[in-house]
Amino acid sequence: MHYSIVVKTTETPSVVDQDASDQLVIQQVLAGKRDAFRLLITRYSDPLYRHALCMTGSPDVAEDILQLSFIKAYQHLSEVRGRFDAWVFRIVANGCKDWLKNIRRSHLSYEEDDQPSQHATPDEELDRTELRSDLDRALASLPASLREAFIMKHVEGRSYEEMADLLGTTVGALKMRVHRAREALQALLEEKYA
Amino acid sequence: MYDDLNPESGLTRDVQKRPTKDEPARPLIDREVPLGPQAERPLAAPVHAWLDGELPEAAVRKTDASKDVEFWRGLDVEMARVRRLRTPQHVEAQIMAALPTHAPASMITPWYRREFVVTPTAALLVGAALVAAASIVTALIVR
Repeated sequence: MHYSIVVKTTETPSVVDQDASDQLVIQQVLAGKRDAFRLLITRYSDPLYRHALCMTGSPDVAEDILQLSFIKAYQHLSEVRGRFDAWVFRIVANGCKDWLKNIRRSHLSYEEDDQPSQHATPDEELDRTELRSDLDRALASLPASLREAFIMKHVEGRSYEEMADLLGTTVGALKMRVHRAREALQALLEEKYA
Repeated sequence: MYDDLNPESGLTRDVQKRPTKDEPARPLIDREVPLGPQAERPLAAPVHAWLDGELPEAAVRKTDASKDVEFWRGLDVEMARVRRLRTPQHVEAQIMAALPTHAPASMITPWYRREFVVTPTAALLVGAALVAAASIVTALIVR
């Protein structure tokens, strides 16, 4: 029995059906129906956007990474082997890691980059609670591999097996990363919120 | 002229100055990644098991970790907000506008990986051609 407090957000009717449907769309795009690609964007952009947003902490950067990733996916669509969603997730995840590497090199400060999105509505800004800001900061202080594992587990609600499949590592290693991330986050936040 | 072998002399003042134990630690710049976050207190195994979905909450509350349960419940409320976030509406149109206008290039399959189909007619023709070629070569050698 599974007791997790994390609820899956992207319920799909069936992974097999979804994959077959994706393959049909891919065939259409490769045959020249460019507009069919919109269906793949609609289907997968939300979880990918959330991943990029949590990894980078910036709505604008998340949008940029999402856009570049989908363009890359379109250009290399004929190379998809296996599930499209897993393939495009890896493109986005690598995009986030590259961005984090570059930003560390250029010493860009968090404040400079974490300006609220110009597209955010006032309601969205109000929703951004103090805890959310502290959580973002605490996440940003984690090494990228711990942050990625924590986000995949607790925000995206993925199983360790699915994470291992997507990241090409072992379940044991991922459990270790998630456990370390939890302990680090609790150490950073519990004084204020416990 | 001589080589300066003094290891200290080439260093700048900043590099030479090492923080002592009494000095307060320099605060980390945001985005700077610490050398492995130091957990002040490791989480109890039942809490990890509960967060991993392997234990019911009631079982963890029976232990002395109920404070941790409250903490993670509070954090989960915030993470639930993140889970409800949607991609801004303009992004889809922006991506579609930025896509190349031509269809994505089909991957070129090398000749040795391409499917090779042999029909009976083609097999007969190839066989006949081989027999004819062999007989011509034999006739030339015998002469």
